[in-house]
Amino acid sequence: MTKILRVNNLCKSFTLHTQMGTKIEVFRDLNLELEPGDAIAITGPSGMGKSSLLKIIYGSYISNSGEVAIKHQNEWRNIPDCSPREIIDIREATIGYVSQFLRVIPRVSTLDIVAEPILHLGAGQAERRAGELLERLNIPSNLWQLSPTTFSGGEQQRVNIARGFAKIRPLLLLDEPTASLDDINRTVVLEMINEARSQGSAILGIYHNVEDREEVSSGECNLAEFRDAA
Amino acid sequence: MGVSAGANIGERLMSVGARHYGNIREQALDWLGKVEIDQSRIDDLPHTFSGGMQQRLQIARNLVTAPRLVLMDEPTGGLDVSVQARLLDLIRSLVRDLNLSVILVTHDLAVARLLSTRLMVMQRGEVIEQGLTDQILDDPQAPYSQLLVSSVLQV
Repeated sequence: MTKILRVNNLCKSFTLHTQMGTKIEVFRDLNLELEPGDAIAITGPSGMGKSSLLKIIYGSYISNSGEVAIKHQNEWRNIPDCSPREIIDIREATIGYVSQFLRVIPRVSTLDIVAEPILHLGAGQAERRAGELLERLNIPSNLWQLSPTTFSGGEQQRVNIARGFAKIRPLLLLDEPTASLDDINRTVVLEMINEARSQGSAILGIYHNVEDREEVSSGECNLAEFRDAA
Repeated sequence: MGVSAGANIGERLMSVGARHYGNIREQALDWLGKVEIDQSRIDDLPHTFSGGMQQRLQIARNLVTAPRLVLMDEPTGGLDVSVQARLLDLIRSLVRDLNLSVILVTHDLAVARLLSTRLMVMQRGEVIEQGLTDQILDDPQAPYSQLLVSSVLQV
């Protein structure tokens, strides 16, 4: 089977110049491969670099060494070697990322925020799809024209998920997608993840809750294995 | 100075050869609408406008001739935060709808994050770091960039 993501000997550390040059090793020689339809959960105690790994794959963190190869439009691309423009293209077509926090311009409506990634379909179609997702995630329609900045934590999380799933991309990075959700919405989100997977997306996720992890994952990548022994 | 809001916009059109008064006025009205200034203010003098309105008038005046590249120097500087949010939203939609390229100077990292796709950090006249905006802000490498990012106050 053909792969979609290949992480080889990836190393990450932070050098904090503002804190007397403290160096923090995150992980070393990390290896990971994903095929379409795979769903891997990243596990390990807090501070092991679970979110850092997702961010390196998404291009928002810089790695020290190693390879992060992703199949973008049938061509292998190594994220650390890509220019900003290439990363923007790869994100648009190939990598979806649902972060833990919603970051938006105040004043833009919830519907517009969710529709933005699919505006190329035309405004009408994009809004219809956005509305379907918001409805499925139980965001009441009287809130759709409002900015989500004043929403509750769980509502913001769901808007974020709706936006991340508006366009189903070949690789989905999910950072605690079910944190702060009630049971009903948790179930919806897990269903959406499984649907994306059955459509052939590869999922790499961090799940706080063990049941959620088991519900949507076919395998595990434990970061505790890639700690420097020294 | 003593020129109305509409004339401020019209002047740019005239400088690129527009002469038909009706068309010029119509475009001025259209642009006032785009930057969300009440169209009934077209004959008022800009100094009777608020700071945010003046800023938006300036944007209308600059975009009316359909440039491909726009340079913005602290576009939200000195504005009240509520006006700032509105202006950010406006700039973003204009950039998207008109397919504009923008070079923006700002000291406000939140503005940089929301408006720009790429970021360049300068210190003492030199570019010390550049790349994707979210990468520079989330994982800055240069000491000065780290200092900038870590100095932002959390609200």
